[in-house]
Amino acid sequence: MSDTIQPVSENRLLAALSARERERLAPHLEPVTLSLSEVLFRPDERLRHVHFPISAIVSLLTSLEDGTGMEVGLVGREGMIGISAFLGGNETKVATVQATGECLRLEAGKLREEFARGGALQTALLRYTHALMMQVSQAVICNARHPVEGRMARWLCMYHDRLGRDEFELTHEFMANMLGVRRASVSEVAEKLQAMGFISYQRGRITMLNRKGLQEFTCECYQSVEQKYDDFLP
Amino acid sequence: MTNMFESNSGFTKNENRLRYGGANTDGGARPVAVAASGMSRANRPAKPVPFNGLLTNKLLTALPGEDFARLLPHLEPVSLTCGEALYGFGESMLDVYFPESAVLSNLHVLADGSTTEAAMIGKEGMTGLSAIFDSPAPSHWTQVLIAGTALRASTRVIKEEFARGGAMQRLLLGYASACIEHLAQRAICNGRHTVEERLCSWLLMIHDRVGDDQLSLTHEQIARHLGSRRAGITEATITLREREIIDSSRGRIRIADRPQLELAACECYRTLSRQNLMPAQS
Repeated sequence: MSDTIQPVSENRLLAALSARERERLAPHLEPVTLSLSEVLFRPDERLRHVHFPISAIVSLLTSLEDGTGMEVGLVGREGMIGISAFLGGNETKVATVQATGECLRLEAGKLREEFARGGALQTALLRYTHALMMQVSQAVICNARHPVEGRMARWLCMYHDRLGRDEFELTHEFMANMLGVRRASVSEVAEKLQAMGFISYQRGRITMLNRKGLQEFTCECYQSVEQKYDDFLP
Repeated sequence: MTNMFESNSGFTKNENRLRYGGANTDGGARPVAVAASGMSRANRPAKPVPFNGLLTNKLLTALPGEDFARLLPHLEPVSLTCGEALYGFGESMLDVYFPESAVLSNLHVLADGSTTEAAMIGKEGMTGLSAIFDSPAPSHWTQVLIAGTALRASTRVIKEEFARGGAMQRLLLGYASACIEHLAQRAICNGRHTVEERLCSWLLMIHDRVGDDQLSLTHEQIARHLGSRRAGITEATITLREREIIDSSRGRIRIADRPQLELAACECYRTLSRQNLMPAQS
């Protein structure tokens, strides 16, 4: 029942392309299926491909020197993974697939070439870069200020928005990273949200029971970023 | 249109740094630049700026000569006072600022009216990326944390330079990437490190940008930027003072032992200095 196929809409950045750009890029866009926990890149790896998710969701993790990570961004069909392809420099984050799904992949060099032409793709990518900046900014604020339950509610709403279905699995590791807590604390926080009747949680399987309630329970960061996120996007 | 740079063509590029050649700086007399009235924009008249003749903004000094020469007539030195907001909230940004000695903060205001800093901008960077990228105005205030000088340019001029696809574009894209790294590190830092560690990293970041051991900062201000309670900041300050790492008196903090301050900071300071093209001092 959780596997009901959603109508797969297009990636939002690719949808912003002009007819001409679309024509030029189409032969190079390769559909791939991303599987859960697949790592798209690690810090300092040479970026070979960029990914435009359609139904897949990818999380961006920043790590400390001891190897522990924390979620700083979530990318679905509104965005792309591999901004260093046009910004320059190396990726410094780990990009891990959090929801299996479809994606269009493009060689990083091709993207750079098209970006340099300065058309609609460049405009869309620059606006997306800024939108991502705003998302990460909010994580800075949220991590400094908000209790872990509100933060979990926020990430679950963001995840739910991108996934478009009520039942999903999240690994313990992902949730620990998402909140910056030890794995052992994850169940504790999830059980609190369950006790309030917002979700049901069983061994990593989450069912959204009361999205409205969960959203109201999120810290204000959900409202300030996600509801405005749409305006920031191309 | 003219400004001080044009009227005093005494700048020479020297070791990747621009030096003001015509100034008589002995005896403390510093050249004062007054921006031409034709340059002032909107409701913000330019203020006279004591300018020490050094161009230290890393984005500007990284521009090749030809690109810099094109930009020069459009750069207007301004002095920024502590607490000043550079843009109206949610207003489009008509100007961008390249800090010299000033340090700026992107402050988010929460529903209860309290604030927390998302990013710090000093001579390694600039304001107004969102306007250059044609994005809606960001949801934060850009406020002056440490008073000082900056160079101001109209957003339109920088956008035109960006659209050329040359050095300015490469630099600003690289800067955008550094900004995201800066934010990501501060996000994990806020999630994982103690107030004291974060305070140390934050002071080091300011110290690098200002280059002065005396920082004018109140506990109240620090709390507003780090997003912690004032009592927590006072406590952390007392500990650092007892360890003779800093001195603090009413509204001032002096960095007394920089190497020890670095040891007391979390790893985020080192990571941030690497990312932000802002080498640590020691």
